[in-house]
Amino acid sequence: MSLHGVIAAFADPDALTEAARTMRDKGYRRMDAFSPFEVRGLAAILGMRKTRLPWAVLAGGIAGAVLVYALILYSVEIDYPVNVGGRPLHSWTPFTVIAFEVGILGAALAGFAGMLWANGLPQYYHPVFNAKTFTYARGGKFYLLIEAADPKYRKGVTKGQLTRLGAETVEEVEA
Amino acid sequence: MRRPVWPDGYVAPAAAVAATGLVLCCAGLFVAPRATLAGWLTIALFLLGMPLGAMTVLMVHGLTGGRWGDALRPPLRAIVATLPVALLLLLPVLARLDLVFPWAAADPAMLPEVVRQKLAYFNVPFFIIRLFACALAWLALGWLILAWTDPDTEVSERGTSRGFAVGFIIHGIAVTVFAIDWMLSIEPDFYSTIYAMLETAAEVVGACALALTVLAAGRAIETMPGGEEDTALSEDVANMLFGFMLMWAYLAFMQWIIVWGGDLPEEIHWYIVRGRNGWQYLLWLLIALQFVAPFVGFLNRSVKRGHRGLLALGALVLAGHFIDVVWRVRPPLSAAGAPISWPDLAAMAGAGGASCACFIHVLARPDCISFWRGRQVHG
Repeated sequence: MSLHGVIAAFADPDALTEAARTMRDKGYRRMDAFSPFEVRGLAAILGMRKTRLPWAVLAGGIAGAVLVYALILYSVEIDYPVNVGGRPLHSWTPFTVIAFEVGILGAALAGFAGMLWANGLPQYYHPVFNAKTFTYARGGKFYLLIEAADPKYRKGVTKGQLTRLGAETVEEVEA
Repeated sequence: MRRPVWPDGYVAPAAAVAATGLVLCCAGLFVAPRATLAGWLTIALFLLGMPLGAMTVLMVHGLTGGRWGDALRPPLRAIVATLPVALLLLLPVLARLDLVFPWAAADPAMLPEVVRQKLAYFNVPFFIIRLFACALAWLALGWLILAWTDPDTEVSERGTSRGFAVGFIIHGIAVTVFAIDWMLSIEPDFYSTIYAMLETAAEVVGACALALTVLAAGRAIETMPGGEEDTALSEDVANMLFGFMLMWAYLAFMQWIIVWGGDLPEEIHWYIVRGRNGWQYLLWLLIALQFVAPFVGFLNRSVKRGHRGLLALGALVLAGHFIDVVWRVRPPLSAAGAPISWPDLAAMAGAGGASCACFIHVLARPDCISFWRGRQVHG
């Protein structure tokens, strides 16, 4: 079995934040953190990118509106032109309403799909669940994972550093 | 030249502008009475819409609560305090109702059949009675709202929420009557049941935009305490204005789509008058200022958190609301060919300056509001 990395458990969010900051200052980049609730500022320390979900939602909204407007135009101009009360075939006034509705639908769908994509879901296997400290029975702590793929990673050195930072347990994680 | 201190230093210049405008308006009444009165009516309706909208917002906030309203309260109270002045601005129009309202014309036989059938409602005595009833209701309501939202006195929440609820109903009826009387009846053959709602929504947008602009001009609302964790208070306020603006846009579009769908001569005429003789450019400007630009701005979080962004958004929406009122009221009043003439600008300066001076004065000294309420200020 190859090694995925080491995972350190901390007792409280402040210790986790402090440890993550120190390890980042030491040059570690391939880190991940796990906690039962949101820890403010942790994402920035771990170097996570700002969410791009708003752009996905905007793109989904525009795509929905444009597609449906194109569909309406195709059906009234080309496929089945019907004269309704002498109004022009391209009657943008009522079409706007439908385009708006589908724009909202597209935005909502893009938001949902984008959220799944950004979170890497659905995911059926993650090595971190191999760690004994990460189980339901012993879980509920604040964890910092250093991946073995990190260029700064040296098994003994990294484990020692984490222990000195106040980790309750430091455990190797099988891939 | 140094910039005068905000807001005290701006009362005198506004009063000077008002005096100049009023003199020009008096001259205009002799030279071109109809054009002057048309311009005056437009600006007076805009200025009266401000306190009415502020009352609506204060009552909505009184019923629902929320930090956004606490932030907006001081400027909104100052806007409500301009109500008596704004009501006075309508009086000059009463002298010559026949110049602006076709149904008040001397010879009813000249009117179209459909208008003649409405004369039981649209006649001068009843019109004036309705105006005074509305004015009384608003003055009483404004007085009560200022008392209920007074930051210095503790008022029980249960008592005021019942008051706000009853007041809201009365206010709704009064605004409906007023919008039909003073705006719709300029074209008595047209009717639109959504119009009073549209006017209410527009007033709310205007009052809220003015309050946001004043807040952002006076101090840094984006750093004011009281927002949610991670969300600046300014963002809440901007989002509320965004919501009000969308409400207005929705109602305006609904009226258009229904009239367009019906395609009846006496209804679509309302839009045809407003889509010709240069008014169509005002419409494009209105859509740009009160829908497109704020829509993009309000969706952008950094704009809602920045001082300049908020100031620009508030000012844009306020300008858009002004154009909205002009576009709805002014076009049928002008003779073909000359959309806007100098009496319009004179009326804008006269009435606008007077109202501005009043508003800034009250804003600078909030204790004036207590004086208006007829209560001795202690200390």
